[in-house]
Amino acid sequence: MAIDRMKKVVVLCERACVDRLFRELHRRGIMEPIDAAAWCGDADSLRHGEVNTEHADQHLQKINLILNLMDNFAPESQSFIQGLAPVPLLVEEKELEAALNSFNLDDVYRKAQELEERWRGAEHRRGEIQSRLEELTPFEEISIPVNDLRRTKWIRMLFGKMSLAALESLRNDPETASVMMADEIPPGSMLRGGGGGALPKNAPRYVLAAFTPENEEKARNLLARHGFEEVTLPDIPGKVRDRIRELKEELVDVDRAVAAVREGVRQLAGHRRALKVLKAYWESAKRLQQAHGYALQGRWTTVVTGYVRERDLPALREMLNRDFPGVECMVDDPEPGEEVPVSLTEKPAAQPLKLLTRMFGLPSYWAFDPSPFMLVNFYIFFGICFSDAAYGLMLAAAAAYIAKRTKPFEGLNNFARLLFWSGVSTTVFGLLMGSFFGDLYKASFMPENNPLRTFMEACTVLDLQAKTIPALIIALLIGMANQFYGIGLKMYGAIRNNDWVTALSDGLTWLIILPGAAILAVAFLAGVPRPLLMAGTVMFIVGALGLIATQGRESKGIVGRLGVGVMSIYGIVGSYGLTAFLGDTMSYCRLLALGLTTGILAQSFNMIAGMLWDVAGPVGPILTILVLVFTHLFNFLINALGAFVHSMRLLFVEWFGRFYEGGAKEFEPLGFDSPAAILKRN
Amino acid sequence: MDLQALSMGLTVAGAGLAVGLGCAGSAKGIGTAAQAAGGVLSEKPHLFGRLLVLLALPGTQGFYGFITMMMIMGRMSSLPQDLKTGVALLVMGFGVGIALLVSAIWQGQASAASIAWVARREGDFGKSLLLPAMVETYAVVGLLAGILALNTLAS
Repeated sequence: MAIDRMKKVVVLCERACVDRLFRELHRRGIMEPIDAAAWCGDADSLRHGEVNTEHADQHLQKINLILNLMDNFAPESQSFIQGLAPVPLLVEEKELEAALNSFNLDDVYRKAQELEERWRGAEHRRGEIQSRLEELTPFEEISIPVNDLRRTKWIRMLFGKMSLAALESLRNDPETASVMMADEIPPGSMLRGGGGGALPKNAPRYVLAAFTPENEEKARNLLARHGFEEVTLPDIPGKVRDRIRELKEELVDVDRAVAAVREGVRQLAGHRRALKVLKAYWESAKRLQQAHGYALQGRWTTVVTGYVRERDLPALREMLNRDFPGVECMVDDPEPGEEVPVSLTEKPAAQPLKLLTRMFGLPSYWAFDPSPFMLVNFYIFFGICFSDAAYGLMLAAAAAYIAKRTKPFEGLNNFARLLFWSGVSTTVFGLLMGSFFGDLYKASFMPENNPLRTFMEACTVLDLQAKTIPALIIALLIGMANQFYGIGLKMYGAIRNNDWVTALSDGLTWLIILPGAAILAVAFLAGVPRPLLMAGTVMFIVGALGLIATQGRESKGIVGRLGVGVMSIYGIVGSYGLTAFLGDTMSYCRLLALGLTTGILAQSFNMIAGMLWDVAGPVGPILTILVLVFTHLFNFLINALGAFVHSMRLLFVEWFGRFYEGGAKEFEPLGFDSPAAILKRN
Repeated sequence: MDLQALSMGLTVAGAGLAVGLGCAGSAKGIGTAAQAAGGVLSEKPHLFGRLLVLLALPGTQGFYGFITMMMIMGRMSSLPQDLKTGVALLVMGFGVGIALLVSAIWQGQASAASIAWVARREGDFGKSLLLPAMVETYAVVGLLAGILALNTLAS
């Protein structure tokens, strides 16, 4: 079991019963409708069914308005875990019925609409007030009514600002004295109100220019030449300061109005769950309507086509025979190469790893599911990277708790189970590497011969810090083995498709040359026994000849084929290469580095906590415990994240690169269920 | 001149450079990612948990620097107290520190790109973790090289 076998189904039914047929398919959630034109071709007498989603859209528009308002004013609180992995809404059938029959959507919508209108009105008014305040603020300190500064009978006045340098140049301009009087309005003057003081050098200077009407043009030109920026005086009766005060009082009223809206929305928030249930329902109703568009309708009949899992076929046939006696149902296998939606069903052990496969991209229907093949390597990688028995136990316990509480939610449950087994693996590797909260059992404040120390020392096989080089070699050997495993899976995939040429030339040849090359490299660096050297040399030569003969098989001409074959050994072209293999293998050294990181950080925290034991006096032990709890919790979180991300990376980049291409479309049967909501059927 | 004291000083300087550059890089990287996350969270506060993970990723370099420092300080007593060793450890600490500094800064950029990705496609959170992880590879290699060099010196 892995990729579910799919069947392509064509249902011919009377036009009159097509609505009922789609409703029944929607209720059962077993068929993904596809465009019937792909099956019927260009049949002139058939047309696509009409799609009318207006009714669903109207309901969704109402629900979305209310929910958006709630998100603005009464956002739903969610835990950190919920933030990490959103949980779909689990809807009981009874709850759905109650929401559809008893919940008065129109009434709630009317209230929400009224609240929204009040809110928008208040915000509009706030915008107006703020923009008016921005206009008035520069004149706030003018202590006389601004209309007194407007056009007078004999004198024209301009109010504006300019830099200090520009003001100086204006003063020094010989034309100024003959055209106008212009000077800075100093802080503390009558115009700028009392107080003030020296302005910073780069602050703009407020300037008042006065001239007679006949000199107006000359004065304006002169001012413009000196960078004078006219500021239009606000057209308000009375003093600016008074108007600003009035506007600020209005702002307080606006805040009160918004607070009243917030309170109103909070009262509506009690309906949030019912609204979410209704939203899920109407979205599924919309999908049901859209499915009509895939069907082709003739004068009397309608053609509905889609994919069904082979295991659901008996249920479909039974439903058609019982409820739609007149329909004709034809079942066919997908054509080779056809883009078939993919549904994965795993055995329980591989179920959590489906999460990783989905994360990377689903396999093609014609390929194989990699999930069961990750059973060993992902857990090993995670265990080595995290490698602390206590952290492993913590992770397993937390994951078991989450898994128990998330059974209805497949994705989250798979994640929890993945973490549970990763925690088990971490515990095992932690024991093997002698790490339990780092070296807590050896800490100065622990009894010399505590039982934990005796136990851990009995379990320890490899101390990463003491034997770094052997540990690095083991990490690289694990990397090589995993790469060979990947090449083996490439062969497996090719053999499944009866492609023996690919299996032998892009798989077996690399499985011969790469171990040979590795033996030769070790012989060069450190020396190996002569028989092993001979074996390595033979493997390298045989593998190289195989690659030269096969890697250029799609090139033209003997020279081209041999050239491509030779280059493929290096790795410029072809299915793999020595350089790519070297790079991939080296990447596995992160297993050691991350394992060391967990251990050394834990030890450092133990050391810091240990210092407090004696130094801090009577509160020392309490401080030590507090520091230990917080630092180890931190180390646990940061290294669990690192272990997960880097284990995933090793699989996705180095390992999947050898045999796997994701990207297939997921099978999405027509029905209520979606990533956002699941219907729990009785 | 007291060569032993000089050697010790150079060793401590090397440890300081490793942790200092690593922490500086992490601060910059997290800062870059946090700016991107702040913008997204103002519109989509429900993404807080996922974005927090993404913006925490460039923080590991600071700890790699800390580990390098602890390794150097821990091995100081078993290492020869001569000028060559002091200079070697200074250069090693500097080299590791530079790798951590640069990788953390770029990891911050990659995290910011992933944050933008998750903001548009919330379901791609898992995949988006891979982009910053690709950059971190070289911080890991730098750390490991430092540890191996230290072991070689100590042996």
